[in-house]
Amino acid sequence: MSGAREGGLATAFGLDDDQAALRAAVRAAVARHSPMSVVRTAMDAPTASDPAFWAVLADVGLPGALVPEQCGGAGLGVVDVVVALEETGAALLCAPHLSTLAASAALAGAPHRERWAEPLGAIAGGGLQATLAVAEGGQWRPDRLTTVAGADADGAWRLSGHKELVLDGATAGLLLVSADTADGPGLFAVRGDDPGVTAVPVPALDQTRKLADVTLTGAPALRVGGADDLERALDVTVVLLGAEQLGAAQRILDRTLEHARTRTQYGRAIGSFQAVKHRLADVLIEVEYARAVVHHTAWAATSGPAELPAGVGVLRSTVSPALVQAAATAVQVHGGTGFTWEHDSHLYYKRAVSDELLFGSTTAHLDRLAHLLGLHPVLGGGAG
Amino acid sequence: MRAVLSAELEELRTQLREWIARNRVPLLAEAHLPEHRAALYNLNYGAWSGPSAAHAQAWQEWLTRNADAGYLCPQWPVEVGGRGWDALQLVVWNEELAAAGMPRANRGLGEHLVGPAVVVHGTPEQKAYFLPRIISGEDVYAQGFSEPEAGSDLASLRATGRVVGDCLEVTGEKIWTSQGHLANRMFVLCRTDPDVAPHRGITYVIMDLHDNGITVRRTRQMTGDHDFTEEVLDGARAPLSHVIGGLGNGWRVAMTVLGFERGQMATTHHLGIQRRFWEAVDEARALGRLDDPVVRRELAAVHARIEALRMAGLRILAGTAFDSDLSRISSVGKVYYSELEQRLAETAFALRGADGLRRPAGEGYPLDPWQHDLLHSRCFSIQGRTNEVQRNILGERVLGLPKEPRVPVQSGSA
Repeated sequence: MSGAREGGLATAFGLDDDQAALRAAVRAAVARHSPMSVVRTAMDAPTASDPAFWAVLADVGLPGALVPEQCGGAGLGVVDVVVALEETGAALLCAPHLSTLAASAALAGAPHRERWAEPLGAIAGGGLQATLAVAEGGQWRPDRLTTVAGADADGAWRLSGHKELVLDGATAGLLLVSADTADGPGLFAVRGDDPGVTAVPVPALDQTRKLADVTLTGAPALRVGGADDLERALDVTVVLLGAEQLGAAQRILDRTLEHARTRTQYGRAIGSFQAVKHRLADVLIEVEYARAVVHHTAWAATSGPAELPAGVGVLRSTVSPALVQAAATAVQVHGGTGFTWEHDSHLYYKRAVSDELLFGSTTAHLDRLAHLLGLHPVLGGGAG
Repeated sequence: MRAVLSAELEELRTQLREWIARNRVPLLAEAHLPEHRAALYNLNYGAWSGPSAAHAQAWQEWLTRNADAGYLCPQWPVEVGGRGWDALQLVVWNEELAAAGMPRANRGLGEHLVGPAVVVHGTPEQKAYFLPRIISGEDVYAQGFSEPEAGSDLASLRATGRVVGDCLEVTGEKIWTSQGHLANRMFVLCRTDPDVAPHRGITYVIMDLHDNGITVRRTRQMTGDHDFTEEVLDGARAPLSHVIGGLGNGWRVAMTVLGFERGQMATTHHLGIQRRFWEAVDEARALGRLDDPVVRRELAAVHARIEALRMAGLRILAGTAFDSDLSRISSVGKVYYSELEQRLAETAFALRGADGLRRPAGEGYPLDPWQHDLLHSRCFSIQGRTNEVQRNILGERVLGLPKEPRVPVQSGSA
């Protein structure tokens, strides 16, 4: 096996200094400023907007991680950021970091990136939070968008329609909104404080993620990109979300293991019983494969775009069930305690079942994957 | 992954691709046609086991061409006749063979299990004696580990080894020996010291199977095939120079090799299953089942797990996976892979609905490909340590959970 670390593979999948530094900084900031007691306070509020904590995150470089260096960011790739998001996911960090990272990736990858230097710089500096507003009718990739973009008399875009379940939609200063046009769907930037934008916080099953329904009535907009850019923005977002799911799964597995090692019943640690041990081994197996998929797909987001769309389908059908299994196992192995509000297991379980739906269900992603693989009744493309 | 391989590896890929194109034996590529299912699985044991003499001859031809070009046992060190290929070079080789639809020419358990044991634990004399015979095909190996009373709990094995002069004399029973009827030698675990802890008193010895007090009987499994044998050893002998790693060190010899082998396999598992997946897709399309969104979803879900297997293999190759912990790699991979094989077989079998009730006509117990896989795949979660044992290993060695309390064994009990 000698030599396996040399060559391109290790570079692509290994942990380099930038990744390690960002992960360490995020881990330290989260540990210091967002222990579970803070998460529990934050989850009772309708929105997540603690300016002091956001300044800390901006200071360690999280919101600007994907912002190009010439715009004031760290210029990292998705592959670099996922390890940091494993930390935020592990801690159930209740902040608008995921939404802002997703939006910054969309802007940084847009056709005319120079037009977005100002908002990208503001994101990196911690002065702007942003989000993607795409879901309609419970779908993140609906067949047809009802939100429409039209040009007014001056040729400027105006958006009207209704967007659902927008992550941090009530607090974001910038919304990237999908809308239909005469030339097909596109992605548009809208100011969050525009009078044509109304955001109403949604009471969420997972209280650590803040959602809002957003109504647009002739809101002035700038075009960010077309249908391909929209697809790519969603794909990248699913990878970022997957990293948080992975981190949460590993953390709740670790906490459950600790309990299984120390809790005794019938004179033995409960983890010595095969019924418990095998359940936890199954979680380990799923988490290990989820990690391989998240890291590979993150690599694809940065360096292997052809693999990304199908990779996202693989990711969703691997990582989402892994977290659900890890969290459900946590509730079970903790017994009655795991069912209480005081214990954290339910927070991970709610995160698990919510993340499984956010940005498209497993089923929706499997349907898309089947399509990408060419699993059509009539032969055509995809067959390997 | 191809985008990130080094230039040297891409050059090797080109060379291998060209060599395969010049030397491939078309009949064997056609052997990937589903009706040779059982024989295809058995090619991992180095021999064509199916009824077709033409295929058997084609396999011999393919072995000869590989031998002449030095492509047998390529992962062995150069000084013992291999090419010293590392995991990445081996993957390129496996990928190119798969792309050409050709099975990998190999020397079965001799190449995969005995060779590494001798390379790591053998003396210079043992290397010089045993290894060339494996590469040339002169020696074909069977594994003598499991016993009727020692399956998952292998360390409780009872075959006894007694030093008689300069020989080791072995008496006992061995079972679940894959393709034992094709072998001339067997690597045997036997107990040479009953007075120490179970793992410590075991010795690894290489024995002749023929004319050596060993009775070989074939057993039939649920697929109707006769892939296994069982052996009765009645004072079978081997010179002490055939003991690998020294008396009492056999457990360590056996386990090092098994762990290494599974780590390697984890990087190539997806290739075979990927091929069968696309066969299942073709079948689903031909049967008109791709109209059904439930079928499409299930196939996509199976594909996703095959992809996860591939991606995990890449992480292992990159040296970043699982902290290079072999017991984790092998146990995680074994459970995942075996259960995925079963799921694919169940999915593919279900495509035909009630037509699955009907077997092809013919002598014996012929099966169609998916009937075969449905039945055959049940062995994957049993062989190579059951998945229950694998989950114990994961729980105890990787997750650090306490061991199950052992029931004390009363001395003298059966």
